[in-house]
Amino acid sequence: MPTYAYILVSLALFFVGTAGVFLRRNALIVLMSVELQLAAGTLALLAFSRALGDQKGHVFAFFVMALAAAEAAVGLAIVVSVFRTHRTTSLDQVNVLKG
Amino acid sequence: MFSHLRVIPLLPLLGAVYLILFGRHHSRAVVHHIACMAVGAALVVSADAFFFGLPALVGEGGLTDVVGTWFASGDLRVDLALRMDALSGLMCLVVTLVGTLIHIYSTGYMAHEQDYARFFAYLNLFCGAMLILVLGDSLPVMFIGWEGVGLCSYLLIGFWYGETANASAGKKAFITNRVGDLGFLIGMFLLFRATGTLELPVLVDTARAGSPTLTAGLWGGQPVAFWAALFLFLGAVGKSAQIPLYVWLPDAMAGPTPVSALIHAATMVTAGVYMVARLGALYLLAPAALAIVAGVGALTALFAAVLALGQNDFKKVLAYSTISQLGFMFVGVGTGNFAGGIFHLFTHAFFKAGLFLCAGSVMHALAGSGDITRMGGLASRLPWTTWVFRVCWLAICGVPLFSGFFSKDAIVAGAFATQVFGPRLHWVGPTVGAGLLAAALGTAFYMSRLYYLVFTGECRADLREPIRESPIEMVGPLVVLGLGVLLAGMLGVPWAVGRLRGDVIGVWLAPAVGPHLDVGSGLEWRVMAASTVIALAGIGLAWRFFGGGVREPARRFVAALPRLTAAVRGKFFVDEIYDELVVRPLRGLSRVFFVVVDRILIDKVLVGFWTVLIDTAGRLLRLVQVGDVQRYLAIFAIGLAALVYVMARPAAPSEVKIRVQGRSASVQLGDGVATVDKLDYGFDFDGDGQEDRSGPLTSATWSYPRPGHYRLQVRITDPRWNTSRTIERTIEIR
Repeated sequence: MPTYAYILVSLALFFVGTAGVFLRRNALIVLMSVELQLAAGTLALLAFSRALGDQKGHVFAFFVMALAAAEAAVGLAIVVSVFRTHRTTSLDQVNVLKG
Repeated sequence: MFSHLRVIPLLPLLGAVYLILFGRHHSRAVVHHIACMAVGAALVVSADAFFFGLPALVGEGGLTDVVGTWFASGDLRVDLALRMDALSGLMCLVVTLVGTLIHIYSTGYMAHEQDYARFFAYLNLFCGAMLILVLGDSLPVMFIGWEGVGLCSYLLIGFWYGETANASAGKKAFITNRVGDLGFLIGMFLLFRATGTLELPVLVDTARAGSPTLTAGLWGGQPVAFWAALFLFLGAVGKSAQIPLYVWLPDAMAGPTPVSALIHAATMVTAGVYMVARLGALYLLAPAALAIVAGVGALTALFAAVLALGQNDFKKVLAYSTISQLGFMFVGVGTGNFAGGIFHLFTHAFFKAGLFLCAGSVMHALAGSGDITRMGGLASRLPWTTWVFRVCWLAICGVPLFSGFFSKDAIVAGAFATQVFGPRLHWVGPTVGAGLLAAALGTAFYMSRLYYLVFTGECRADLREPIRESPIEMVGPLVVLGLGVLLAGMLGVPWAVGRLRGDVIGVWLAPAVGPHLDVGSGLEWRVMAASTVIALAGIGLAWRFFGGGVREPARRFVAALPRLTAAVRGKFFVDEIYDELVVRPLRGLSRVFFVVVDRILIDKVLVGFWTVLIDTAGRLLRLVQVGDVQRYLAIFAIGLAALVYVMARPAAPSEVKIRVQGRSASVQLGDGVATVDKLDYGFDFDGDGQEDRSGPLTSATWSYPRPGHYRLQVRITDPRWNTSRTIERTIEIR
C-alpha cells in the first residue's frame, strides 16, 4: 500500500479525534478523543518510518504509547477529582474560571 | 594666627545634632548642660579670636577660615569660607554672649515644660545658623545661615504646636520671610551677573572702587548697584520686619519668651541691618537705594511706635518696640552711618534681650499671663526683675548716660548730618531725622506706659499663690544683661563729648564699614539736648496718663478720640488689609487650581481616563474568559494555525536595492533573508505578470526597451512549503 493511504487514514483519525475534543461535552469522551489523536500521530510516524526505511519512527511510536498511557492515567485522575467536586463530568458545567 | 573659625558655629551645631538624636534619653540637667556648654564654648572661642587673633589683622580683612570648595559651576565658585573682621567679630560676640545668657535663662524658664531637649536643640541650631550667617564670607554661605535662622524661628515660634494659633504664627513668619528671601536671591543673582563673584570682600572692594560693572545702567535708568541693593534690602525687610513685611514679628511672640528675646529681638531680626552694613559700599553707590532704606526705616520706626501704644500684651508691646528700633537701625545704615546703625544694634541686643527676659520673668511669676491690664504693683514683689527692667527702660527711652541714649543719638545726628544722598535727595536726611525724633517720643511714651502699668500702683492680678521672684538661673542672666546695658553705651560716646577716644566702636568698625561719619559738635549737642527733652517729655506724659495705673487723662483721651484709639488698637487693620489683598485672592486662586487642576484634570482626566481604559479593556477581555476548556482549545488551535502560516512564509529580505543605469535596472536583495537554504526568486520587471528572471538568485538585471514607469515585482518562494511573498516597487526609466 502506498504511503499516502496510511497518511490519509491517519489524517481521518486525527480529524475524528479533534472533532471529538472540540465538540463532545463529556470529559471521558474528550479523553478518548485525545487518545484517537495520539493514535493518528503514531500511525503517521510508522507510515513515514516505513517509507523512509528509518527505524527511529518505530521507537517514537513506543514512546507515544507510553506517553498516552501516562496521559490517560493523569487525565482519568483529573476527571475523577472533578467528578468529586462538581458531581458531574460534563465540561459545560465545569467553568469555575469564568471571568 | 587663629584659623579655626569653623569651630565657632560647629559647636552649637553639634550640640543641636546630639540633642535632636539623643536628647530624649537624657535627664533635663544633662540636656541643658550640653546646650549651654556648646554655646558657652562658642563664646569662649569667639572671644579668644576677637580679642587675641583679630586686633592684629583687623586692617587686612580679619581672620579667615576656608573649609573647602562648596560648589563650582562654570564661572561660579563658592568656597565654604568664614571670615571674622571688625564687623562680623562684633556680631559674633554679641550672638554668643546673648545666646549663652539666654540659654542659661531658659533652663529656669522652661524648667517645667515638655520637650525640653527639643527646645534646647532648636536653640543651639539657631545659634549655629546665626553664627554662619554672621561669619559667612560670601553671600551664598551667608544665605545658609539666613535660611537656617528662618527655619529655627519657624520651629521655635511653633514650639507649642498643640495650639493652632502658635503653629500658624510660625507659618506666617516663615512665609513672610520667603517673600524677602526671594529678593535676597534676586539681588545675589544681579550681583553675580554684574561682577562674576559672590565673595563679600571682593564685592565690597569692587563697590568701593566704583567699578563700572556696578554703575552701569540696568533698568529704568538706575544702575546695577541700585537694583541689587534694593532687592537685597527686600530680603532685609523680610528678615528684620520692616514695612511692609513686619506683620510676622508681633505674631512670633507665640513662641517661648527666651526665643522672643534671642531670635526676635537681639539677633536674628538684626540680620538685615547687618547685611546692609556688610554691603555698605554697594549701597553708597546708589543714593536712591539708601534713601529707600532710610525712608522705610524711619516710617517703620514711627508706625510701630504708634502701634505699640495700643497693645495690652507685654510681649506684643516689646515686639512693636523691636520693629520700631529696627527702623532706627535701618535709618542708621540708610544714611551711610553704618557704625551708628551697628552700634544701636549692639546696644539694642542688650536692652531688648533684657526687656524680654524681664517680661518672661514677670509672666513666669504670674503663671504665664502677659496681659498688662492685669498686672501692676510688681516692683516690690519682683525686685531684681524691676531693677533690670528700669535700666533697660531708661536705655530704650534714651535717657542720658544709658546705652540707648548714645546709640540713638548717633543715628539721629547722623541722619541730620549725612551727605550720602547728594544734592537731589538732600532732604531725605533731615526728614528721616525728624521722623526718628517723633518715633523717640513714641518710644519713651509706650515704654513708660508699659513700666507704669506693670510695676507701679496696685496689683490687679488675681492669683491665689503669692507672686515670687524668679529663680537664680533666670535672675542671673538678667543682672548680667542689665550691667551690659549700663556699660554698652560707653563704647560709643559721641565725638562731641569723648572725641576719638570715646567712640571706641566707630573707630573699631572703620576698617569694615568705612570711616566715622563726621557730625560736627554743634549739631551733636543740639541733638543730644533735643532727645533728652523728648525722652523726659515722653516719660512725664506717660506718668500723667498711666502713673500707678490707667489715669483720668488717658480715659479722657480715649473718650475724645474713640475712632483713632480703635484704629491703633486694631493695628490699623494691616493684617486684615493683607488678608483681603493677598491672602484671600491667593486662597481663591488655590481653590481654582485645586478644583480645575487637582479635582478635574488630575483626578478625573489623568487618573480617570486610565481607570476607564483599563476597566473597559478588562470588561472586554472577560468576554474571552468563558471558563469553557474546549473553547480555549479551539482558540489555541486557531492561533497555532496562524503561527504556522506566518512562520512558513519566507521572511522579507533585509533590504531591496534597485539601481537604474540608463535603460537598465538591477535589483539586489539583501543577504540573510532566507530561513532555509534555498529560496526561489522570480523577477517581473515590466509588470506584465510574466517572470522575466527566475531561479535561486538574489539579484537580476533587465534592460527596458523604452522609457516610462514600470511596476517591478519580486516573488520569493519557499519550495518546501510552496509559500510565497511578493515585493512591489515602481521605477521610472528615462
